[in-house]
Amino acid sequence: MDRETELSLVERLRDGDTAAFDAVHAEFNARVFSFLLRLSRRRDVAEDLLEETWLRLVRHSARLRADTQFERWLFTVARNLYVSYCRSRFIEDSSAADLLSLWPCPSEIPSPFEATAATELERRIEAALARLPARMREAVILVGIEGFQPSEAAAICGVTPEAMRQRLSRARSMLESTLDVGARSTRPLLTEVIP
Amino acid sequence: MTDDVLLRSLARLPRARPDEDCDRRILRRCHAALARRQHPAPTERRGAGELLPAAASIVGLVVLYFADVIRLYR
Repeated sequence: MDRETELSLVERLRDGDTAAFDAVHAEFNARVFSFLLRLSRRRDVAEDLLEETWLRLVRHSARLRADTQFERWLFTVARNLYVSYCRSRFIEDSSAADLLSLWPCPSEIPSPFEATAATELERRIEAALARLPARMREAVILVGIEGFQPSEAAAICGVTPEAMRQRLSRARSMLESTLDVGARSTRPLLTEVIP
Repeated sequence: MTDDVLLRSLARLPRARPDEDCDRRILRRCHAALARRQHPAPTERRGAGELLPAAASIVGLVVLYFADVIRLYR
């Protein structure tokens, strides 16, 4: 979506234009859902959080800034909703606590993407991604898969760019060891994808 | 596994879609919310005809109260 179109949609959405909402929904729905699904690894949770993300956009539509970037706005809200979900489930479900924990801990919940992977390589990557601690997983998803710059991913996650770079570096190391690729062949590649 | 394969695979990991029921529900709820923004439900306003008897009662009570007070001090 080019910036001119996006600014026009922002203005129309601020006026409550349903067609503008549909255009934004069509553009970003799959991306936001995939992000939530890779974070939560549960389809039902991802769908609920997705619905709430879009409802938040509608509720805030009148107050959107004229220079709003839908991509960053939606991913920030989606990520914050996931954190709130984790907080609410902290006591009930220890597996939801990894985003809140001080120390990164590998996750044991497989990703729904593993079962539908088209190739063995894809399955291995999805499996390695699903087993990253949540803070590193979200960093890799935002930068490596969704194409955000590290500074943008840092803003979405509410951390400093330096903290994001550290998460990406640790994530790269963990992916390397999980995928069991030789350090020499993998490091320059993953560095290119995950700076 | 070559570098090129891993790079392309990571960048091309597929995106999932919510199921159709979920999509339809989201659109329905969001459209309804937008419509409510455009046409908010009128708040119930009591017409002057309904307020006058109540106002008259209050004024009457105040007058009676002060009448009693005046009578007491005469």
